[in-house]
Parts: sequence; structure tokens; C-alpha cells
Amino acid sequence: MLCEICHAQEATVLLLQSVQDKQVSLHICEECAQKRQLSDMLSKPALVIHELLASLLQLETAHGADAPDITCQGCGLHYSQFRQLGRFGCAQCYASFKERLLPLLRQFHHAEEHRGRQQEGPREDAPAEIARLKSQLQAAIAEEKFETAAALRDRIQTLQARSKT
Amino acid sequence: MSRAFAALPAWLTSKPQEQAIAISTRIRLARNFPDVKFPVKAQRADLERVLNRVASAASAWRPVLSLVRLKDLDPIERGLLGERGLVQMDSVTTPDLVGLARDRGETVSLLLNEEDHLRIQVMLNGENLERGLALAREWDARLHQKLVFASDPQFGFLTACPTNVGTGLRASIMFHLPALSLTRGITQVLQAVLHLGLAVRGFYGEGTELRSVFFQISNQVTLGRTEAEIIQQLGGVTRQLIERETEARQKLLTQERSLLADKVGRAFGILSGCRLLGLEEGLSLLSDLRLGLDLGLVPALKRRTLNELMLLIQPAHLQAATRRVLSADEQALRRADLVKRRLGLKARRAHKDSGREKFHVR
Repeated sequence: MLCEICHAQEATVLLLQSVQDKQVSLHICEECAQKRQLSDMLSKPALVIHELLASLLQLETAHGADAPDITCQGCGLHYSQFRQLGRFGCAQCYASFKERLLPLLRQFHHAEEHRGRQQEGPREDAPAEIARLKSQLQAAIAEEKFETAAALRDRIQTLQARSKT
Repeated sequence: MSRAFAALPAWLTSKPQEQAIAISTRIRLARNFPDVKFPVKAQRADLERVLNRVASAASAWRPVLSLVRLKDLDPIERGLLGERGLVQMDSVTTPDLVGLARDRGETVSLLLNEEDHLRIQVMLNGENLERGLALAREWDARLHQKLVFASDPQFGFLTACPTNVGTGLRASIMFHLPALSLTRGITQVLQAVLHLGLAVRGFYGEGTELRSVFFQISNQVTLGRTEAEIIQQLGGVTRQLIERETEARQKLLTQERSLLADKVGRAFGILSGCRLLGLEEGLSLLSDLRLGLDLGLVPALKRRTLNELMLLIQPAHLQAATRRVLSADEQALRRADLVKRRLGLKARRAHKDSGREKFHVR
């Protein structure tokens, strides 16, 4: 059978797609299959990245459908709403949904710790900031969250070094 | 066209780099305020606060940055911002509270209340990742003198979407890859890029045929890597893509010279003779001329003119030049006219309004 797209090469790939709830099958050659796959991926008007997140969130829905919903204290966003929107409602959402978020971050970024530049606090506030971070550090160690603890330790050292200069 | 948008962005008009395979660089840092709800949950008053807060912090640099609110712009002007890549209209939740502060050349802009409270954006020509990042950081530091952004020791800068968390950095490069596209090498190359965890977007492609020759490549990962690492990876891929495209061009030039010359000649022929020109066709023909120019097959054409035309033939730019809404047919007519005029091709039927065209450069 010849490829149904180029009508030139032998069809070796069966492409199954659902178009408006109907299954459509196409017998096509390797080359056209690659092109088709790539152009499908590229022709979407925007936001490849958001689509990737959306599919990760769908996957999560399939696996964790029975998990209880959580609500952010800061903005009232439910985790189920986040799953639909793909957006958080406030900065506190990161703490509120942390346990659910970590697996997502690992899948998407292959990481769960920031390694880039940290925001520098205003210099005069450095002692207060260091005290705050130290108490967070104690809590992290108590909870055996050593990666977080290491990040906090580095941050404290940076702040201490800077406040001396 | 309103005076505010009469000038073309500097990245487009500044001196292009030698090889024009990497067309432009875009750097974006996403920032939010810890005490204001993010745009999907925010009330109007919250978003007003963001506008006022940034406006007052940026007022120290008012001669450099001027703030416009999208609600004060007409639809054509909003379209201009979209075509220039300053605002992504599809992710706007409350469009009338979106603000944009730009410098005169639109090199640096602050986008407010779109997906995040604040996005620092830098646009430069060619491959200019390091300078772009340095400029964005400079503005980040300036604003931070007066503003505190939402951040966390573990997660870094907190963004509305967790795909941006950490550095909040998205670095993108726009490529022109016609030879790889012609020689069918593009699929393989782009799949390799995707495997590296970078995001690829094609522009102006159509149907199942992979017709696109313009591609934007960006980092996808923002967490767990430093800003410098992100830039270095994209820079490395950029160098490789330029190398591959250059190889493909040389191969075409030695083995398929007449095919190339034919392609360029046809582009000239169609552009000289056409009365109606669609956007996709126009961009595709301009791409052919651009390739011809890079390979020395086209006499006396300025790259700058070609670059500018790629923006000027977009719908909102055409309508801004005539200061009114145009139907698709009227756009096609004016697009054909504009291209002929700017390329110095004989326009046998000049338009009445053509003298009013605002973007005269030469």
C-alpha cells in the first residue's frame, strides 16, 4: 500500500488520530509520519510549554483522582482549579500545594531546587532576614528536608558575607 | 498611525549581524509581588495596585520608559504590540488592566498584569543572549531597589505558572532556516533540539507539509539551573543550528545552484507582478529573497529592508499605516503594494494613500 499523503513511498506507519470524536486512520510512510508529527507539534498557535504542563496535569488527574482537594490559604484557589487553569492564584500557593507540586516540578524541570540568582534583600534588613532564614533552616533539619536545608544554609552564608562588606 | 508606535523596534532596524540565520534574541524575566493575588485570582483593585506600584517605582526612569495601559489603545495598536512580540494576547486574563512600559527602541519593556504581575522583556537583534540577560538583570536590580518580589529559598522566583518558577527566565532565539527546510534536514535537527529539553515553535507553517522556515527556540526548564547555564545551553544549540544551516546552504550552493537561483528569481517575479499578496505567501517569498541575499544571489537589496518588511506586512502594521481597519482583501492589496515599493520593484498601480505610509526609511 502506498502512503496516503505523498502517494510515492510504501506505507509503513499507521497513524491513528481522533478528529472531532471520530477515529481516523492513515496509512503513511516513515518520512510523512515524521513530518506530520513535527508539524502537528509546531503548527499549534502557541505555548508548547503550557501544553506540556496541561498533559502532565491530566496524567496526574488519571493517577490521583481520589486524592483530597486542597485549598490555598492565601487566595482560596483549590488544587483542582489549578489543575484546570495551570496557573496559581498567589505566591502562597507554592507552600499550600507543595506536596502535590514537587512531583510535577520533577517531571517538568527535572529539579525541585532553585539554583539561580536569589533575590537580594534590602541591605539594612539583612539581620532580620538571616534570623528568619535560620529558623526556617532549623525547621527544615527537624523535618529532614536536607535539600531545602542546604539551600537555606547557602542563602544565609551569602547574606552574612554581603552584610559584612 | 499613532505617534507612539511610529518608530520600528530597534532590534529590527539596528545593524544586523553578519550571518542572519539567528534573527533576534528575546529574554524574559517573570516576577510577581508576594502580597498581591496573581492575575487569575486578582480583583481589579489588585491589578490597579500592580500598575501603580510599578509605575511609581519606574518613575525614576520616566524619560526612558513610558507606560501605556492596553485599555487606552485601540485594537490596531494592541495588534501592533502582539505582532512585535511585546504582548501575548492569548494569555491575557483582564486585558484592560494590562500595562506596558517601553523604552523608545522597545529594547527593554515591562509587561504588567499579563500572566504574571511583571515581566521584564528584552529584544535584541541576532544572537545576543549574554547582553540580553545582562540588560534584563540590570532592570531587575533597578526595580528591586524599590520593590520586593515573591521568592522562596527552595523555589526561587515564584511565578503564576510553575513552568516558569525558579529563575523566571525564558530566553528565545528566532531562526531563519530555509536551507535545512529545503534539504529536509530540519525534522532531524529540530527533533534533536526537542530532545535537549528545549521548546520549538514554528511560524507561518501550514498543513501537513512542514513549510515553516522561521523557528523560535527557547529554554523550557527554569528551575534547577542557573541563568548562565540556561543561556549557555541555548547559545550552544544556536551555534550548532547556525553551523548546520550554513552547511546546508553551502551544499545547495554547490549542488543545486540553479534550483536556488530559480527560487529567488521566482520570488522576485511574483513580488513584482502580484496585485494581491497574502501574509503567509509574502513571508515565504521574503524568506526566499533573504536566503538569496545571504548567498549573494540577489543584487542590491538591503537586509534591513527585508527584515522590516517581515513586520510591516503583518495585519496590524498594515492597518496602522493607513490608520483604519482593512478587510483581508484590502490588506492583500496594500501588502503587495508595500512590498513592491519598498523593494524598488516597479509598482504599476500605485495606491492613492501610498504617500502617507509612515515607515519610510531609506
